[in-house]
Amino acid sequence: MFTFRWIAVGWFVSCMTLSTTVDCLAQVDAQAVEDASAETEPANDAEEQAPDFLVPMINVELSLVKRVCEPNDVQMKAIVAAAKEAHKAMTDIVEQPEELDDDKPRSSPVKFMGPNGESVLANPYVRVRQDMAKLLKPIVSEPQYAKYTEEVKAREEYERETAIALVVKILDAKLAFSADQRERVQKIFRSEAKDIDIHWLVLADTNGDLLPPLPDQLFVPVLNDAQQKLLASLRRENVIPGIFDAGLIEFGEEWLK
Amino acid sequence: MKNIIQMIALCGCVLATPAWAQNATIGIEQFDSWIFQGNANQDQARSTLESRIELEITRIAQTVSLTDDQKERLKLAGNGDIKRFYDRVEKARRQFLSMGEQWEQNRINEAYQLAVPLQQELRKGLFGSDSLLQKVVATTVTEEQSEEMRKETERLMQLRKESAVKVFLAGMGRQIPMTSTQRSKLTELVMQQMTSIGDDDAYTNYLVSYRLSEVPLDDYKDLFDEAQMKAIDQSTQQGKAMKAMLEQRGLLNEKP
Repeated sequence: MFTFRWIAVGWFVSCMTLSTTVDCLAQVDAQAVEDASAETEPANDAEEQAPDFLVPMINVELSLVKRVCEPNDVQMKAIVAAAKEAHKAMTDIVEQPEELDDDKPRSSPVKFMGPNGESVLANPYVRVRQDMAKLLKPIVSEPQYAKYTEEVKAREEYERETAIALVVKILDAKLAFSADQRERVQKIFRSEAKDIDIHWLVLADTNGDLLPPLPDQLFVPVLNDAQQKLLASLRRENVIPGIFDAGLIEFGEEWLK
Repeated sequence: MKNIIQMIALCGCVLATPAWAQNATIGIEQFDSWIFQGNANQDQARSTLESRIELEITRIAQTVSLTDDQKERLKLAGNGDIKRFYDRVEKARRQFLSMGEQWEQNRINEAYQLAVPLQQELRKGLFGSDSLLQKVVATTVTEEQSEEMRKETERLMQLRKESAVKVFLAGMGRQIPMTSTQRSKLTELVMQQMTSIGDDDAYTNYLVSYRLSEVPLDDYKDLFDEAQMKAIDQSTQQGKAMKAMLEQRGLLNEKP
């Protein structure tokens, strides 16, 4: 439902950037949009509670959009409206109370904990960014969208490189790498590591005996015998990070309340 | 109950002793857990420390080639550091046991203060520059080997600084929207302030936050808009508030 709404609203706003308001409004078959929205509306939309703790993340992303794409007021209004819909649909990344049953295996492992102990089943930062990219495309112009994608790509590279450097640093601190091993592991992680996020690694970085559950195939083959022994003495635990455990800086722009 | 006592001791901010605390009892197990923290007991802590000797020797051997005799001498020195540490633990335990069983609030704090230096020593690692191990390293390796090790340590310090700054700013970018140009410039400016990093990674984030607060405002104010500057100011205020704590832990020394 929300995807359709983004497209519908986006097309509407794109028109407005290219034409006058009156001309564009004439092109919109409002009834058709409304009908299609109704068809894709999930039955339990009103019952599920959108997770509030994701709102600051969405607001930060909207503020980035504002700075990078420099949308006009009408575009920004539509982007915020679409983001609001996207937020409502984010119930799927938080384990719902009725799904909590200790005897039942989880469909997806818990990746983060919300501030009130919510089990978050996907990386919320990634989700917010993916949603933003989807909703933005039909609303802004091509050059605006290109600016945004270029900017988020640079951010993704910065975060990923930082995370990989942190992995190497953690492994080095606990297993004493040679310069060659550091380079090899860095290379392997660059080409093969998926879903690597600084948030998961920071706890292991500050705890001497803790090693995050990194996939063995990405680093164990480069270890010598002494390092294999050291590895066996470490605790390899998946400590689930809390979303707000780094302490929040309040950014003053509240697009979503 | 133990957790509650620990929290009170950690905060050290209770003004009046609550009635329940006047009758509280803390035992030697609680005292040990203050020192050994993540380790289940003294034996586990000892085993972890023995692994750390191996880690130190492996680290040195990665840079310079060591003979079996050299390795043995380093191992002995490392065990000497562990023994010295446990001697201090025993002394503190004896002091704790001599404190009796009346646990008023100020006495709980007093007991906790006995444990804190040992806890910090353990977390920081027993094989730092003042350790027997490092002293023996200095007399065991040749001058050439020593120079190689110095260069390697310097290189690693630089990598640690870069990692610390980037982790901090990547996290900050999740709370303050920043363009890549802004992020790159801020990375460069904070890196210039990172004259030291210290050994204890538990405080690295606070250290970077403090170093950010030291970057002259004029160097970046034109790069950010008002809302961004306001948020960055929150972060620098948090950083400034860390100064006393960082000084106390010797993390603001200007040595690299």
